[in-house]
Amino acid sequence: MTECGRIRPELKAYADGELSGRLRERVGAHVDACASCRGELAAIQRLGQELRILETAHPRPELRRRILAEVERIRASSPRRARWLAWLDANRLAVATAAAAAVAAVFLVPRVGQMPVPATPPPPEGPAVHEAVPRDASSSRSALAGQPLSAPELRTAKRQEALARPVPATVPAPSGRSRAQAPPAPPTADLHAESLPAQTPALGRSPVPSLAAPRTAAPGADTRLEGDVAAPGVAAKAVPTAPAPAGNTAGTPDEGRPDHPARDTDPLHYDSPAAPGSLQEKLVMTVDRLDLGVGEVRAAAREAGGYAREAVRESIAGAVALANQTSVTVVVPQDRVDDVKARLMRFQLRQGEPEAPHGAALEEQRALLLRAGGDASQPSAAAGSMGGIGGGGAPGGGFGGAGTQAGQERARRTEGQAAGKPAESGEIARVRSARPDAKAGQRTERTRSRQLEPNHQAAPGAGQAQRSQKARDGAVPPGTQKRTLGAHARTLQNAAVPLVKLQVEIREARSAFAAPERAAPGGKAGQNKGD
Amino acid sequence: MQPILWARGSAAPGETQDASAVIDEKLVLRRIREGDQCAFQELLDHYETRIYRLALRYADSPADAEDITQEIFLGVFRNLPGFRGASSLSTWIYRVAVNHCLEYRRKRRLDQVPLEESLGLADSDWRGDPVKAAAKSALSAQLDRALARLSPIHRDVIVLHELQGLTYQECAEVLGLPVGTVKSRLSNAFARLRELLGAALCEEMA
Repeated sequence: MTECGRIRPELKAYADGELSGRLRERVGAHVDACASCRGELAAIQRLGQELRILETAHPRPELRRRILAEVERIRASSPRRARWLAWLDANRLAVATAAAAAVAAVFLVPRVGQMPVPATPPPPEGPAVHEAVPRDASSSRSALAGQPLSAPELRTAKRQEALARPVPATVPAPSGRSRAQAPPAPPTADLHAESLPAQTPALGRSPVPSLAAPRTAAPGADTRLEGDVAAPGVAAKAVPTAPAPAGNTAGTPDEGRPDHPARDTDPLHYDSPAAPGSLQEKLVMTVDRLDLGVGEVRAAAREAGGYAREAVRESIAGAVALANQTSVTVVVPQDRVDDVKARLMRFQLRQGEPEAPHGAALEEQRALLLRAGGDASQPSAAAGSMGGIGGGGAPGGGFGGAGTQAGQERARRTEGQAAGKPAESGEIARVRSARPDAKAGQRTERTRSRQLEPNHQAAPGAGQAQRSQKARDGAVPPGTQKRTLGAHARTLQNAAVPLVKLQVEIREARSAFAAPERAAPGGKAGQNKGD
Repeated sequence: MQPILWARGSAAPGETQDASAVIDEKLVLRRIREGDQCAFQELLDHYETRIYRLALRYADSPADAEDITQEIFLGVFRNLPGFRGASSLSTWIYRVAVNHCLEYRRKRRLDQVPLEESLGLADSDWRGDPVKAAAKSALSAQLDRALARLSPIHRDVIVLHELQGLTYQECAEVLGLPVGTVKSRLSNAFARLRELLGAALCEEMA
């Protein structure tokens, strides 16, 4: 398109003075230089002038009299309404204040007595009136009971009370026993916020897999993130606003209900509008499987002064391949969100890049490591997991090839471990250089070097870094991993800084192990990408 | 009684309006809500001609335009208590007016033929130069016909912006469109209008 072609649509707005800034200057400069566009502008201006002088009609005087007579008739027919509206308008602020006070009195005042306020200890003897109301929340939820509450804590407590209101106020305790008398929840290391008592059968929910008992865990696989507390009864929770893809049973619809216990313990719940950091953002990325994982997202959040909350890992069975998708939720200060995004977006696959850009590099890496007697488990761990799933008859099966390849990979890995030969530094350097992400390569090499040590045991709980590496590389089965709320997170939430809950959705590019010949006819080979 | 100051000095084209006239919208709203009859009369005086001309663009006859104008102002009077001031009073009145006009256009019988010649859209002043006045009258008739042949979405923006003098932003608020859409529609409408006018406009310009 020529410059005239770009300028012509703007000429009308330019003639009306509706352009601003750089565009106005650009159009003006072009009009000065181009005689054709200058003529066009003159024609537009002339037509506008002609149009404006069209309007010379005037209504008859009878119209005004008719309108006023009708207005008077309406006014006379509803004088009380008019007076009431006038009074309402004059006292709008007072009316709004009174309404707000009434609402607050109805909904909040009955709950004030249940809030743990240290300045007013409960009566020493006799059943207090407010104890007739079940108060499970304060007994199991708040580790702050009995302690002086700061303003943010008080706000959080009030909000939690408001969210928990329908349950105790309307539902009597079963068998006449208040929930305060219920058996205590299983002991957990931190009951403050994110560790939830498992009560799924009573709520009719499907059992939520505990972190200590993953559903499809490979032998020896540890699904916890570092710092997790594998307490029995700790329920996992999916991000409620994100649509749960097929196969994800971690999140249940009940968790989005206002009376769900998860809402009480999550001050940054997606659906809590009054949360002091209720801003939520979502970052969807398509990455190569080896480049970005939970560990990187957590590290980015930590460096930004935030923390990671949970990670939901799931497999997506498509027509031709099994891809993994991980959703990591982190909470970071609002002014650092862009830093975190920028750091993570480095891993984003650009348009036009191959979906599995390291397929050849992986093969080369694997071959090199096998020749060196090393462990090729890192690049193939995800394939092992996926192959197992595919071989087990997962939906979208046809992964026999991948499963077979993964099985062969496991066999080769076992052989490599038995040999216990250290990798040669030159070959490792070549492997590292074969990957575009040098940092990821270094990270993988560090773990691989440890695993290549003769006395290395890949036992469960061998170290946080190893668990993180497994989680990143796909050894972790699909499911939800959740971190307990640590001291840093509590401090951050209680601080007066705006927080943003950032959900990083990592969509791995189509598996490098998917056999191209298995692509369904009709050119659907790329169907999984960007699902 | 406090006089109403008309703040929005965008007098309709062809309308004699004191340039210094400004309107205190909050004041006039309060006075109308308090039952001040003069306040609504002043509001009517300020907007009656503009709204009538707007209605005339959608109506088939001056009588229909008067009916539409009456309904518009009665609607304004009835709904003023619910006006929260989210937009300017002028924009809100135009929105009410356009809604009434669009409703009229929807209900209009399809077989009705507009009596363009009798609308009196372009009153010519024959007391000056009769030849020039005749030429202008002919051009005005052509402009009216060309406007009538525009698509509704193009005619709406032309009427509001060119004939009523609303800004792009006000047009966008009245029509419920993004400003960019108003801008592009105006540009396209002008291009279409020039096609329809063709040689007539060129002759007039010459």
